[in-house]
Amino acid sequence: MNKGLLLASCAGLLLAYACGADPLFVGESDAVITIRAEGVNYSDYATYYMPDDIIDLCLQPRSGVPSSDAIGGAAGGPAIDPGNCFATDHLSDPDILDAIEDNMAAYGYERVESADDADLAILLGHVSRSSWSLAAPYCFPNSYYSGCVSQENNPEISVPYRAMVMQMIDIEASEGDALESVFTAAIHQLHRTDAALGTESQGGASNVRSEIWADAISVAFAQSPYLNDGGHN
Amino acid sequence: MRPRLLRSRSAASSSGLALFFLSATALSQAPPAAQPSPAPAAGTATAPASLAPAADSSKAATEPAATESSATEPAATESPATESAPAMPSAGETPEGAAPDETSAASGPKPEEQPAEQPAPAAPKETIPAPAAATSAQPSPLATDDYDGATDAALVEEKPGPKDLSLGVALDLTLPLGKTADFVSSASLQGLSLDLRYYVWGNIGIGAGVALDSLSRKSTETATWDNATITGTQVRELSYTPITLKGYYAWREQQSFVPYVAAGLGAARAVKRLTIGISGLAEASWHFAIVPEAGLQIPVGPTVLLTNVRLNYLPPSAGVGEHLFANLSFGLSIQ
Repeated sequence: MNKGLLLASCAGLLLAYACGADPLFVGESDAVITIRAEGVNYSDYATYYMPDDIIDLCLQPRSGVPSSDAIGGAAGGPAIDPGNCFATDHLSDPDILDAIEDNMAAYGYERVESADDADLAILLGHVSRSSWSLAAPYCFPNSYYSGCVSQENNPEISVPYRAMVMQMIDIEASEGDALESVFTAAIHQLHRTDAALGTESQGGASNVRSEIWADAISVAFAQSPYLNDGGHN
Repeated sequence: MRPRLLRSRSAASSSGLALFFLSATALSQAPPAAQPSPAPAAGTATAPASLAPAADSSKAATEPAATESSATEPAATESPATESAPAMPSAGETPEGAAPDETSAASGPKPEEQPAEQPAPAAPKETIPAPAAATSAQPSPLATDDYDGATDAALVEEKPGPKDLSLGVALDLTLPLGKTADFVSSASLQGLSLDLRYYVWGNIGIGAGVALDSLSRKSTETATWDNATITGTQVRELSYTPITLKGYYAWREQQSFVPYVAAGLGAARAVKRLTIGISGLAEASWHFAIVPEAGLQIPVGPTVLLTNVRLNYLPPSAGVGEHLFANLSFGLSIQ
């Protein structure tokens, strides 16, 4: 057989094979991810506690046992590693908290002021490093909510800088620093820059971002219907 | 001497010309391949002897034995001699005219060394075409068989068909079926397959195949992965690497194309991926593989085009669900 023809054919086949899957571009990185704990009956929960602020998530050990004293988010004080932590935008935090409260109320949950009176604790953080794993353990600073989550049953998903991570903790099932997470949500909007939003000259970026956060939070609850009718069944 | 030589040559020429006509008449009934060139007869009496090797050179390559027998065997030259004798001017002139021929044919066979005593045989011996004409007029059975078999009409062009051992490489179009289509619903051209086959017993062959097939789809929708639900722009991918041993049955008597069927059994590695944002989720598993196949081999010039359809069924394995997809392949076969 003509070797030239054979080589040309093989090259053509490889070229066709190389024209594979479409890649994801930066502008396509938005995602809303929710993870439920298996074997949990969400109808057992009726009330929840949620702090009034959102911490920065910076340090996340890949091995060892996390400690609340040594590891925490950027808001956690002395454990911050400035070299690896970036500033986050907290301007939309009140709107984020409101959106979560609205959606929890829509699902039948009642917010309470004290964790001692709540079935659930909703803990929030902004990722202030390049990426954050939803399957690795981390701890909250004692000033925020004492304890650590293992996330060992979560799939290996990472979210980028500026993503918001929400943990729903079963307070009764938690023992000591070991927090029992029954629901995890992560929302990231990496490409939502002011230029992309077209609001940098109008000073209205925060409002637009708040709306985007609110919409994304609604999507998170909408795609988690198992949270519905909390405490009413 | 010179006039006599010329006369002798003229006589020899006339005798040679007569021999030529006789030879031409006889050869006109013989196959074209047996006809001697007219050049020796048109020349002088010495010409045939000197040109004999040249005239016979065309036949020498194919029938050297016939040339030797016509020059050395008296029996083969007797009949032309009797036929050519009346055309000769005179028996007395011929030896003189043949004398120069003896010098030129000094290295020839013994009958030419005594031209005076046996003039008649000398002429036909000098003109090689005459014996050739005689042999052509009464061709031997061996020569007849050769000519009949050598005619163009008897030749049949044989088209090269698929050989026993071949290696095929093909581009795969992969189509998801069943539950596989729930994850990626669109077909994909991301696939290559290699196919080695050897026909052991006629139409029955054995072989092996390996393929690298992928399915992918980019979309913005809600997907589930284990206990996770994900909404956003995502790329879903399925990759398969089936490695199978195959049994073939081909209708190889076909010339223009060779249809075949095959059954493959083996193992396949399946990888399911979901890429979203900066994350990539992957699930890899090994499955038993059942791969029935039907196809065509089409000889085209020096190569063989290959096309086939394969159905790949990967039963559930280790808690991972089944996979089902089909391949439509186009490629080349190397033999």
